Amino acid sequence: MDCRSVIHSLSDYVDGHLAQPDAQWVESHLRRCPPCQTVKADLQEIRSAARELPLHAPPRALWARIQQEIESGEHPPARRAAATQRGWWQRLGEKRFTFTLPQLAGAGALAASLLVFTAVRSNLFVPTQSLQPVKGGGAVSLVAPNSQALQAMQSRIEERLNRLNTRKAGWDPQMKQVFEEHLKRIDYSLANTRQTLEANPDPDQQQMLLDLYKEKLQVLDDFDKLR
Amino acid sequence: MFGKSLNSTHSSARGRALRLRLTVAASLALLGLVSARAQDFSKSFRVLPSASAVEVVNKMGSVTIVPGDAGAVFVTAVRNGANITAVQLPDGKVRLEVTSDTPVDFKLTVPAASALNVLCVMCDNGIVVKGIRGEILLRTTKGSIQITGARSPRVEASSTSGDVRFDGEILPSGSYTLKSFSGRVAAFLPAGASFRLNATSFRGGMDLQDFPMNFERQSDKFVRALVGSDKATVNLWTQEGGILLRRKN
Repeated sequence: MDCRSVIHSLSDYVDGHLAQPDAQWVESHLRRCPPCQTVKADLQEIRSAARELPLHAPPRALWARIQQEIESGEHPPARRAAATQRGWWQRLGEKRFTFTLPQLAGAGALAASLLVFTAVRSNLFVPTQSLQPVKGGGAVSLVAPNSQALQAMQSRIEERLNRLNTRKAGWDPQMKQVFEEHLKRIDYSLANTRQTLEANPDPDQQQMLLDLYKEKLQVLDDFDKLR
Repeated sequence: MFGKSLNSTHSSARGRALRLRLTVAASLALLGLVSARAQDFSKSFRVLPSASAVEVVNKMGSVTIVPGDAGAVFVTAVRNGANITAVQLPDGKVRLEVTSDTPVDFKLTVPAASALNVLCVMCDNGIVVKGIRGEILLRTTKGSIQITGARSPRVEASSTSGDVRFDGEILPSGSYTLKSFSGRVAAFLPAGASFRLNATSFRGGMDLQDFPMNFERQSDKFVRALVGSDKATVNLWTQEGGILLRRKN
């Protein structure tokens, strides 16, 4: 028996993992070999020191990666070689990342900002405005939910209002008063409905809002038809 | 003396009779003038009974339409000095339009099968339609709408601030829409009527108890239900007013 074979089995011997015949064989060699005794003493010291270190639980991702490697039977070098042949997106999907809590919070805030910016830029939402008096004596009411029907209705209302505002100066005072009073009343309902919808976005409220816009457009159409 | 007195009495009686006749004649003449002044616009158009169509655009006043001669449209109005355009278009449609800011009360007699399209914006005295069998489209911003005795396949009556009342038949495959933003919507239908009902009242409540119906959806604001079959559609909508659905007696 040579020293090389003993040293190869020495770690298992120190850990008590060697079978009885092999353990007896290592012990007989150690009695006759001072250099191997020194190695054995070093190993025992390392083992003792390791026991005193605090326990750290490995992250879940590590276990998942180990498990995947075991199950796939694929060795890391082989995997790296294969990865270079895949696209960056596939490689990104295969990567495992671990982050600290502040890192995660920062990334979340950045993602939320990007989402809002993208939504606003792509008209995913129509910006909500508070009730503002406009030239027509009524108010422009814009609403949060994305609805092409609502947007189309709003642009038609704007167009009619602009047209009627230029004509209104020549109207009979009574007619002007009726026009403004009716629009004001509908706008009041629109503002209320919009507030309710923002608090409770259900389809009934959205339908109600659409009906009110139709009513407003109808009043504008009525006056627009007069000569 | 007695004879003189008799003659004098006789002469006095003849004078009184003459004065009475003059007074009556003057009164009749005045009445005629007043009447002519009251109905100071009058026009008639020959129309095909089966293809008669009438369109009215009135700024303020009222519009009343009743059935009459099958081949003619008669229009009378209290003009009040307003400019009224009354023309018959190449397709036979009769079109009336008021172009001045003056109230006009229109009274039209039309074939019962006529299609009606009426806009009376500030209609303080309302739109009244009786006994029509053609399509009825009525719209007012301020004013009430009353439809009675209708037997029409399509009715759309809408007011922003007035009541809307319909009393008529429901034809199979017919469409009936009654709307008011702040007024009350009432429909009086025959007991055997079949229709799909869509009723919406956001603030005013609903009284739909007269008809047995299968509810598909029921809340304090929305009702979708079936009365008999669903070949006809009845839509009742109001934002602030109430809804009343009644069986006709």
